[in-house]
Amino acid sequence: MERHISRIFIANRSEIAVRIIRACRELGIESVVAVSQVDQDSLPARIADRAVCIGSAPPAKSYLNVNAIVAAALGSGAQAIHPGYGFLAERPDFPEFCERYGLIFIGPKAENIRQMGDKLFARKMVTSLGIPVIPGSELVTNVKKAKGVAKKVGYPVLLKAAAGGGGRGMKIVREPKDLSSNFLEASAEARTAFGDDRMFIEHYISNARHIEIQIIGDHAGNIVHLFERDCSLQRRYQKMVEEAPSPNLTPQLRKEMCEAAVSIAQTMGYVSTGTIEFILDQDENRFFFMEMNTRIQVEHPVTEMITGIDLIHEQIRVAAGHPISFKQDQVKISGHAIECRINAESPGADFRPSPGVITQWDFPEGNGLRLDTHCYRGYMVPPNYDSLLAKVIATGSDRSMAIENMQSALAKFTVSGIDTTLPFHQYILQNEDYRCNRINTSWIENVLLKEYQSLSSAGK
Amino acid sequence: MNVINADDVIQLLGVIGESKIDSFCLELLSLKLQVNKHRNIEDDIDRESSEVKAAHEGLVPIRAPVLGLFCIAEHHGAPPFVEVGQIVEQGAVLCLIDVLGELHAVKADLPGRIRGISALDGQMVEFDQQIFSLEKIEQQ
Repeated sequence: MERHISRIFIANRSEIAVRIIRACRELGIESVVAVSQVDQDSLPARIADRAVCIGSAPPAKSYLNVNAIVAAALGSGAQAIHPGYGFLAERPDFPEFCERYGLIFIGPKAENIRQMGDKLFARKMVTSLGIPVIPGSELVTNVKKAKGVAKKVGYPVLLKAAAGGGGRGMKIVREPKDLSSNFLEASAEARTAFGDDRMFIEHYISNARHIEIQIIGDHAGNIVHLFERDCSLQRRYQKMVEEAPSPNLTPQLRKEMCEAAVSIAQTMGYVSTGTIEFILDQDENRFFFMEMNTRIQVEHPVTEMITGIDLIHEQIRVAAGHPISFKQDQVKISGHAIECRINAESPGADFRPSPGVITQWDFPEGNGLRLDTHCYRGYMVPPNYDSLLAKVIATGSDRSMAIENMQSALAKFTVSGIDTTLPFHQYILQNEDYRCNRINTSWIENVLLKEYQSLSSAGK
Repeated sequence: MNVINADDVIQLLGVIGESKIDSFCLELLSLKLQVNKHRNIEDDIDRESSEVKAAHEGLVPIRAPVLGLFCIAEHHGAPPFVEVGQIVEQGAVLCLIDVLGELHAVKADLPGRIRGISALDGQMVEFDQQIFSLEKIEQQ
């Protein structure tokens, strides 16, 4: 059933709010953006048709404040809410709450979010489809059980705190003799850090790539994939550089992973944009399901650049009850795209956050360049939220052209007043391992950072 | 073409109310909206200048502690909690803010005389939006 959307309430901030407002403009839809007190003069507030102050700076009082957001959406006459990414985007009760008040949630069904938020359910469901998952365990409560599971799952293993996340509370154990002490240490640390010492165990894939498949579904049951993104360059589980397509992914693997992703989405009756994340074991040339993200992702631009498809437009269309505007055979990869996430952090000081006033902000013009940002000269980067300033996206007819265009863009991109990760990104791009694609998910932390930090301290 | 709904009309009335417009007429399809204002000095407050005026005259702004629908009375048709010119005690309820059916009472932090009301009944007020200006009165 089609529903008319003429005004969208954007329950988010920063570059993604700008992105959504831009899509609304292009579609002739009015935009109303939620702002916290410190975001009242932000770029989204300036370019939206209307900005509504929903609460004070802390996220709990503003961007996570469900009552204020829904009241603001209703009060401003919006028919739909776009949650962006982060904040309320993957809280299953939020779309349910929206529905209760007659608002369209631009995103997946609550049930989809809930299912994929339960990691054990997700693993079971995916396994039942015959898709490989990372060998791992249910909860492990003592050393004896841990030993048994680790043996079964295969060394090296990753000890993970059940209450952890974002890389916290994880220990790699390479040999059986180290398991006891590590398990006891890890659970004690978890107890201190999270108040919960429950652990589980996964096989650790040491030479891994992070490859994710973008999919989109509509209410008619159509599921289409838009190929993959390679997000292997991570530091503390935060992606720093993403690219599409994945360099060196064989056509056979690409086909299998895309088909696996589509079959997962189809089984769930998935609606809207979503991303299925896989780990590719480069030693064994095998892939394993890791998890599914039920939202639009930060790195969606690289997919847009190689396919020519606007994912936010499609999200809005699907939410209004229209079918996806293209068929699978119309999705083609053209060229190569790379994205660098530029953060307000000091790479030479262990990436310490660097909020403050931007005194210079000059991004170069150029073919195949795209800048997704909310920043401008004079903007005060607040300390209350994450440190993403901008996504620099560069394309080329192939990977080397894209790298060259990105290097040129980064070299000309001038930001003053705050520290940024620009120099670190430049360091990545000129590195031979990166250029020859000899990398994995631990490369930045285990190899590059060490080199960079010794360079930084040598320079002092 | 976008359809005008009840919320749009309320917003429009709010904008007109806060502006210096005396008389306004809109005809759109089957909708005709005619607004005529009777102006009092106390009513002549728009959002930006109310701060300046308040500071200038020693008036205390009272701000919405939450976003929601401004309710000048306990329910529709009931007498308003306060009117311009009225003296209120500290702790007196000035209005309610309806957040999805949950009512938040806004009370006077100090005794005073209501010098201005800058929100319309039923209109959405934003977090920290000025809704009243209060002239301090020393309690005897």
